[in-house]
Amino acid sequence: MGLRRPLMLAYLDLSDTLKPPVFDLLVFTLTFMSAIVCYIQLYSSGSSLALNVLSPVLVATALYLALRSAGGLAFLISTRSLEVYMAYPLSRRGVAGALLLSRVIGPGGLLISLPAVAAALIYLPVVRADLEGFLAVYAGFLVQALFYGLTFALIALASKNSGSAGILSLIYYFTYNLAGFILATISSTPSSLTFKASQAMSFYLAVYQWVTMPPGSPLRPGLGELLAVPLATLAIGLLTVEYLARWFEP
Amino acid sequence: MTPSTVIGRLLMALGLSLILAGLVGVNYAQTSPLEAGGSQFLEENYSLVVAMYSMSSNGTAVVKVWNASQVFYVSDLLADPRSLLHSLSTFNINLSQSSFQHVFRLGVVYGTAIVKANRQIISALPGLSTVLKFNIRQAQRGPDGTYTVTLHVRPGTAFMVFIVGREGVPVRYYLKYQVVGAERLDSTLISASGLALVGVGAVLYRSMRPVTLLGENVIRRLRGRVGGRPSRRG
Repeated sequence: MGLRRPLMLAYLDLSDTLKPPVFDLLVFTLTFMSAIVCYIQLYSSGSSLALNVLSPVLVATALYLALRSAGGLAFLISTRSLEVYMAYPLSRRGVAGALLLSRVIGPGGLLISLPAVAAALIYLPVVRADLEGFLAVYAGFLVQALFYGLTFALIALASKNSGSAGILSLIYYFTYNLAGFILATISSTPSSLTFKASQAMSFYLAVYQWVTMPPGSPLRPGLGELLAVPLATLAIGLLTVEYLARWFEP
Repeated sequence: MTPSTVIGRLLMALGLSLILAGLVGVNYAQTSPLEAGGSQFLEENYSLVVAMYSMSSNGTAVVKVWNASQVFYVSDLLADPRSLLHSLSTFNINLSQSSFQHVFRLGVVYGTAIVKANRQIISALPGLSTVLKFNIRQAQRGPDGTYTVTLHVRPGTAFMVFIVGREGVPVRYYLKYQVVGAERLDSTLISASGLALVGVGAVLYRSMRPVTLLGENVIRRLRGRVGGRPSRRG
């Protein structure tokens, strides 16, 4: 079986995730706000531009993925639409991949990318001068959004209820960020374990510090801090696909 | 929903936000430098600290000081000076009061603090450079009796200027911060590109939906004529 059928299913499901006007309004609001931030604040490097513009966008994206995507996925289960999807001539892994593409990767990627495009257009000379820094931090935000989205999808599959999935995802998101904040606050020095743990929890911040801090600086993250979230994202993605393929009972 | 309608919708959203942002940018775009200053009467064993921390911009700061007996400065600090000032208590330099402001438009935090410390300790700061792991330097007095320190700031770094006053005379300081390398495209160009994106998006969006004119499907009618299919009206 090729990729054609899973992609067709993802395309079909995407029409629900990107249903107007909610998604359009969110894209417009986030892009407009990001563009405004570009005008009211001055940036002289691509990495700091990406960090400051995309930080609030990531919060909105995570909330959207928790309420709309994970909630929508659980709604598919509760209304037995997922059984219809599974009746298609597709493997369960194909269905899982299609759903992750339409519920997490597609909307998450678009919500992070469009404000980044607007910021890059406005600060084109700065981004051209520091393209690597801008792209690295942008990729950091993209991976962090996928990390949140895939975790929310796993929560939705486990809870099977759209209301519970949304609330549980929000609880997870705020607990995760609060834990990162507490770890950073109680850190006495940048070399302490708690500081490294907080750095590892925010991939975009670790990437930003890796790009901007000179080698030898205590704030520059090591390989472990840099790879924690991408590896966790990969593991949670595989776990979600395997859960849907092997153990999930609608 | 087709791919072109989705792309069309997203392009229209992006274009509209750029048009509006461009209009805002014409009137409210930030370019001006930061200027601040003041005077402070310092009691014996108290020193003034002028500090700045950049969160997002590269720039050049100039600090001018009048009526000071000695001025020391440290730059390229990889930490927020507000927390550094607290940690100086290890060297018997105790924070007495501080006032910092976050200037969002320039991406910097700046302010002043008054520290209580024996003047000999402040004077010995350059000698403590290796212990503190900061490169603390002493500023040279100009011919007019003022001290001028020029410092470069980049995102994530800070500087602090320690000012030791003269007895009976208030210390005066002036800080000017100019962002360098923050170059945006012209607001009109941004609005024009937004307009172009809205146009392209609208074309893409409409191309996949039936275009109706006075209740009649125009595309179907045109196809009927071009393709030679007989029109209902003959």
